[in-house]
Amino acid sequence: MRKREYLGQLELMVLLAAIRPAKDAYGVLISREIAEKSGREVALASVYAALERLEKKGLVMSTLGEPTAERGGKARTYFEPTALGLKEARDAQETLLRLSSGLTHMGGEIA
Amino acid sequence: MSDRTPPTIALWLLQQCGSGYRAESLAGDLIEEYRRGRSLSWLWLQVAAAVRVALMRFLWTPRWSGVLGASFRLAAEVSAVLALVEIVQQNRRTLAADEMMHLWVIVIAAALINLASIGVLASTRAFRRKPAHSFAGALMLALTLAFGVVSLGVGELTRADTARGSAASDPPGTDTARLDASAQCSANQSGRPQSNPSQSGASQRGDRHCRN
Repeated sequence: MRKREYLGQLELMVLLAAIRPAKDAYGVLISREIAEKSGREVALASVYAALERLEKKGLVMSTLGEPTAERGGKARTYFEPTALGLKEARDAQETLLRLSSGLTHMGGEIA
Repeated sequence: MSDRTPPTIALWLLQQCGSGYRAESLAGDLIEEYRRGRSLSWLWLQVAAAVRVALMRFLWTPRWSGVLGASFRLAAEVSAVLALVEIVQQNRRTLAADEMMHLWVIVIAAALINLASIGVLASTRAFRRKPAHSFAGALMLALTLAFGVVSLGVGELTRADTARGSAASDPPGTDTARLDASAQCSANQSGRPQSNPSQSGASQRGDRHCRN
């Protein structure tokens, strides 16, 4: 049986932000998505560190783009979740929903 | 999008923070955002974050965390022992032998010894269990270290205060007063009775010097 890897809050946010239909997620877009949805500015270096950990766990995979002049001749790295990553994200969502059911009893609302 | 270029030193720092295509992507992202209108202060904050992440990664490798943990633990243990020695010395300076056997002195000393021992033991156990990422161990060591530093500081302050008080109470011609006090000390120790009641001030000073 595979040992379950638990995701940290930042890792989970980065994984969820990397799930994009256009499969064009890269550092800046992921960071911007997190800032817009959570209201928290996350340093790009922290995003890349989280992405590296996710890649080591086999939850995302990366592909290297073409170098462009607007980036000073440096290439983008695009990230997309693997099947395992998608499963992990769904599991985390279900777990959070189940756990947060207590909030409704306390008078809170689940968005 | 403008064509402004980030400071060379910022790009150099980013190169030092990582290797391979990941570092290149990070630098490219920062250049892209900077050219889209992000401020220079934003860029420097991002570079600082990159340096911090790289530094943490470097320090938390098993080899370096082991060295750091061992050094930190040694410092904490040494400071705890020094603090206890300082407390005992301080008590010896300020209290007479019979006062040192008072219940409150023993209770405070025992509590301090226990605190230091618990700190050192807990940190050792925590580091042994999970050397690389032991927050609890680091916290306990920090507390032990703080305990040592505070105790030493308080000890030094008390010592300075005692020395100042002693200097202020000594009259002019202190050498003579000290000689009197030494003579009185010898007399007290040999058990000779005091013949002159006016020598009681010198006797008190003598007691203090005897204890010192």
